Amino acid sequence: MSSLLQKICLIGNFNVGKTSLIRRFVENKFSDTYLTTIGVKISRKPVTIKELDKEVTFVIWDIEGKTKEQAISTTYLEGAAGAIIVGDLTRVETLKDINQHIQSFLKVNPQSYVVVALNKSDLIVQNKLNKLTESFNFQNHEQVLADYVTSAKTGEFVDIMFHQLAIKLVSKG
Amino acid sequence: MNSQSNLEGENPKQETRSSSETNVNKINQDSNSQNIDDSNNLQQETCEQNEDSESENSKNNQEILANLYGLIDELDIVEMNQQKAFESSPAIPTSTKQLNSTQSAADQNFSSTDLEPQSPLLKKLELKKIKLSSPDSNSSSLVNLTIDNHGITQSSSTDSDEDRILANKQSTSPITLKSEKTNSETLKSKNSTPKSLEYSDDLYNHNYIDSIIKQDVNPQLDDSISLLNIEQPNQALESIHQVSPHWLVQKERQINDLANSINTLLPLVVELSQTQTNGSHEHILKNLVPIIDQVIQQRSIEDQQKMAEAIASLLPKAIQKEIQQEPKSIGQAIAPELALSITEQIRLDEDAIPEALGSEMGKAIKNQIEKEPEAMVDALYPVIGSTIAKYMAEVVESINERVDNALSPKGIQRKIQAKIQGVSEAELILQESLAYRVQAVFLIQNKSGLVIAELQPQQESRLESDLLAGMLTAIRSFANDCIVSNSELDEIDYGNFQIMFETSGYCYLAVVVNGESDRRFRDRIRKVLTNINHKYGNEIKQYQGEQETNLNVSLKKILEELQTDNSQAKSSKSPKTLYWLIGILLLTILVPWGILSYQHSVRTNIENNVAIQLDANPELSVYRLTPKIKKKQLLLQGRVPTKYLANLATQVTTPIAQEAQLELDNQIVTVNIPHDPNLTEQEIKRTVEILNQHSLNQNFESILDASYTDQTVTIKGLFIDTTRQKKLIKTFRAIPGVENVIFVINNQLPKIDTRIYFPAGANDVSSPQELAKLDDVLIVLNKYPWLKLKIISHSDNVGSKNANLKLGKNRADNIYQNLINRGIKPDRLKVIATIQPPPDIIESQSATLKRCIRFELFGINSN
Repeated sequence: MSSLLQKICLIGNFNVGKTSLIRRFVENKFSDTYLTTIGVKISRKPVTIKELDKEVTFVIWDIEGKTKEQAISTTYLEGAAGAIIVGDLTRVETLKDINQHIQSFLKVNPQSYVVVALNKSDLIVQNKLNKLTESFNFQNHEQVLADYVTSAKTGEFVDIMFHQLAIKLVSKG
Repeated sequence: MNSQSNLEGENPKQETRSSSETNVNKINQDSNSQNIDDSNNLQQETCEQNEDSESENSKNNQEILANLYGLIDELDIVEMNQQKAFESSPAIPTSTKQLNSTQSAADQNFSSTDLEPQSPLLKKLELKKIKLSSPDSNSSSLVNLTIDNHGITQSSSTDSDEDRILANKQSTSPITLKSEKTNSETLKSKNSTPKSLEYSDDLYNHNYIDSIIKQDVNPQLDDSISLLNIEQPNQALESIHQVSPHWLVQKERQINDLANSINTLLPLVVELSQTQTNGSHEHILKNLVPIIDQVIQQRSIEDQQKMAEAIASLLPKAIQKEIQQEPKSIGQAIAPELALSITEQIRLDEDAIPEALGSEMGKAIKNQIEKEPEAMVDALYPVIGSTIAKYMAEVVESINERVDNALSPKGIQRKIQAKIQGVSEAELILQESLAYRVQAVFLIQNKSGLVIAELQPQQESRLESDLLAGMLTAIRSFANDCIVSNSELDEIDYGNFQIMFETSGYCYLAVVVNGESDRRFRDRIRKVLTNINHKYGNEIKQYQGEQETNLNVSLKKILEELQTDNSQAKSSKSPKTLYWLIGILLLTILVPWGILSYQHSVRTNIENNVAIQLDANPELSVYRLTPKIKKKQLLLQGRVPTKYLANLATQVTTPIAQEAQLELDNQIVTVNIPHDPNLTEQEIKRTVEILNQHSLNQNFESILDASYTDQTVTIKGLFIDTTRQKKLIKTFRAIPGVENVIFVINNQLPKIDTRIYFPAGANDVSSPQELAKLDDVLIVLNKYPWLKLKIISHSDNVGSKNANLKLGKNRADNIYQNLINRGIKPDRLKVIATIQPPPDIIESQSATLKRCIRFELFGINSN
C-alpha cells in the first residue's frame, strides 16, 4: 500500500467551526465550547482508501479564522494539496466570504483542490437550509470538488467530505 | 436570566441551543426560577388566546389589578407586623422564616408549609402577589386565572374529606414532577405548533389547581385552624370574586368595599393568628413532640428532596455550632468516611481536590521537610535519587574519562581553548561531559511543512514528526511574516532542548538537540544540507508527499551523518588544529635545540682540537689539561708542575684560539707535584743510557751509572772529560723529582791485570786454563765498549833478539786472533811486540815471567 503525506488547510471566517470539524474528523469528538484558534493548529490523521489500496496522511492546518477584510497569511497556505473552506449556515455573511477564500487559496496553490463545508447544519431547519443552499453556489470553479452541508456536532458528512478530498488527492498523484 | 444561562456562557446562540437541549435532559433538576419564568411565558400565550373574547374584561381587570396592588401592599404591611409578632413569640420562628422564603421561592415549599399553623389566606394572598409581580399586560389574566383556580381550590378543599386529602397528598410528588415536565415540554412545543397551546393551557390549569390543592392539603394542620382559615378567606375571596365585568360602573366603590372589608378583617386575622399561636402553641407542641421524629421520617420518605432542602440551610450552622462545642465528637463522626468522601469527590470532579489542596501542598511539604527531613528524603529518593544518581554517574564517568585523557592531544587542546576563551578547564570538561545528543533530525519541505525524511535515533521517545514539522513550519512562516522578512529562524531554545534550523531553497533541516551543541555541529548541519541540496534539490522541489520512496531512504542515509556520536565527530575534526599545534611546538623546541647543538658541536670541535694539540706536545701530554669554551673565551684548565709548561700550553693553544676568534684564558695552575720515585728512577736510567750511548757515538770517554734516593741522583762511573760535568748536572736536574746530583766518578782508565804466559820458544799458550784468562779481558772490553785494547807481548832474553821478537809477535797475533774470534772488533785492538820484559819485571828474574802478554786499555783521545 503506497502512502502519501499531504498538507490540507481549513479556511473560513472565525467561529464557523473549522476546529470542530477537524476535531470531529480526527478524534470523533465535539464540544460546544468555543475556543478561538490563534495562528495555526496542526493535526494529523491517516485516511485509508480501501478502493485504491492507498493511504493518505493528512497534515491538517487549522488556520485561525479571518474575514474577507483580514486576509489569511498566504505563507500558511503554501504547499497545501487541498483545502476545506468552511462557512457557517447560521451566519450568511460567512457563506458570502467563501468564494473569496476559495480565490485566495487557489491563487497560492493553483494545482490543488477545494471542498466547501457549510457547517452547523444541526442549527438550521430544512426549509431554510434548502433556501440557503440554493442561493449559494460554489461549484463555479472546476477545482472545487463539492460542497457539503456538515455538522461537526452530529458528524454529518464530515468523514465523507474528508474522504472525498483524500480520494482526489490520491488519484491525482 | 435563568441559572443555566449563567453556566453556559456568553454566546447567545449557543445558549439557546443548549437551553433547549438541557431542558429535555434536566427535567429532574431543580430550577425553580426557571419554572416560574416558563409558566409566565405560558401565561403570556394563554393570555393571547383569551384576548379576543375577554377584551373588555381585560380593561376592567387592569383597573382591578391596580386596586389590588394597593390592597396587596397594605396586606404586606400587615403581614410585616404579623411577622414581627411571630418573631416575638419564640415558639414559631421557623414559620415566619418560611413565610419569607415562600415569598421568594416560586415553588410552594411543602416541607415548610407542613408544620405551619399560619393562615391559608395569607398564603394565598402571598401567592397572588407573586403572580402579580409579573409584567402588567400578562398579569391581568393571570389574576383572573388565579382567582378562578382559587375558587376551585376552595371548593375542593371544603368538600374534601379525609380520604381525598390523603389521595391528593400521595399523588403530590408525581404531579409536581409531571407539572415541571410538562412545563418544559410546553416550552418546547411552544414554537412549533399553535395547537398545542390549548393543550398546554389546559394542562397548566390542571397543574396549577393541583399545586393549590397541595398547599391546602397540609396534613398537620389543626382542625380548628383549618376551619377558621377556610372561613376567612372565603369571605375575602368571595368579595373579590364578585368583581366581574358587568360591575364596571361600581368598580371603584366595590374595590373600596373590598379594601374596607379586608381592612376590617385584618385586626381579626392578626388577633386570630395570635390567639391561635398563643392558644394552641402548647397544644401543638404536645401533639408534635412524641411524633416529631416520625413526622420527619415520614416526610423524608415522601419527598427526600424537599426535606433535604428544608434541613439544608440549617446544616452548616448546626455543624458549625457542634464543631465549636464538641470538636472531638464531630471529628470522630466524620473521620471514618473522610477518605471515602475524598475519593468520591475525586471521582466526581477530578480537579476539585487537587485545586483545593494545591496551594497548601507547598507549605505542607515544607513543613514536613522541616519536621522530618529524613522521611521526605526517603520518600523522594526512589523517584529523584535514581534519576540524579544515574545522571551523575554518567557525568562522573565522562569527567573521569576526560581527566584520564588530560594529557592526550584533546587535553592539550582543551587547555589551550580554556586559555583562549578565558574559562576554566573544568568548565570545558563539564561542557563536554554534558554533551549534546541529537534527538531528531527532520528534513522538511519549506512551503508545505511536509516531512521528507526524518531520523530519530532514540526509539523510546519519538516525536510526532508530522505535527512538529507542520508547527515548526508555521512558526517559521509566522516569524518571517510578522517579525522580519527575508530572515530565517535559526534556533528555538526550549529548556534543555534546542531546535536548530538550517534553511535552503526548498527545504530546511530541523535538528532537535538535547543539550548544548556547538558551532561545529551547526557547520555539520550546514554541510549535510548542502549535500542534500546538491544531490536531491530537484526531487525535493517536486516532492508531493510520497512516502517510503527511494528519495526518503537515501535522504535518511544522508541525515545519518548528523546522528554520529559527537565525540567521534569532534576527534575527527580536531587533528588539523592539533597538527598545527604540534608543529609549532616542535619548531619552538627543535630550532633552539638545533642551534644549541650546532654551537655545542663547534665548541667541542675546538676543544678537541686544542686537546689534540696539547697532547701532541710531548712535554704537555703527560698532564691532563682541559680546554673549555665559555661564551667567547677559550679556557685552559689543569695543573702543570712548572710555569714553563703553562707557558708552553699557551703557546700551543694561541693559534687555535685566534682562528676561532676566541679569547684565550690560561687558567693552568702551576703546582709541585709529588713525583713517583719509580718514574724518576726510570727517567734517570733512561737519561744515563742516552748519555752512555751518546758518549759512545760521540767518543766521549765516559761510562756512567746512576742511583736515585731521596730526590738525589748519585752518578758513578768513568768520566774522563770533566769539563762536561756541569752539563750533566743540568741534564739530571731537569728530571722531575731530582733535586740534587752527586758525582762519584773516576777520570782514570781501568787497568787489566791479566797476563798470559807462554812456554819457552812456543807461539801458543801451554794450557787452555791460561787462555781462559782472556775471559776477564773480554768482560772489561764489553763493559767499556768505547775503550780500545793494547795487546803487548814481552819475551825473555834467551836466544836472539830477532827470534824473540818474532816469537813475541806470533804470540800477540794469536791472542788478537782469539779476541776477534770472540767478537771484538779489530779496530778496537792494537798489537805491540817487544823484547823488553814487562815493566814490573827485572832482568834477573825468571825468564818464565818474562815470556807473557799483558793488556792495556786506552781511550779515544789517547793513543
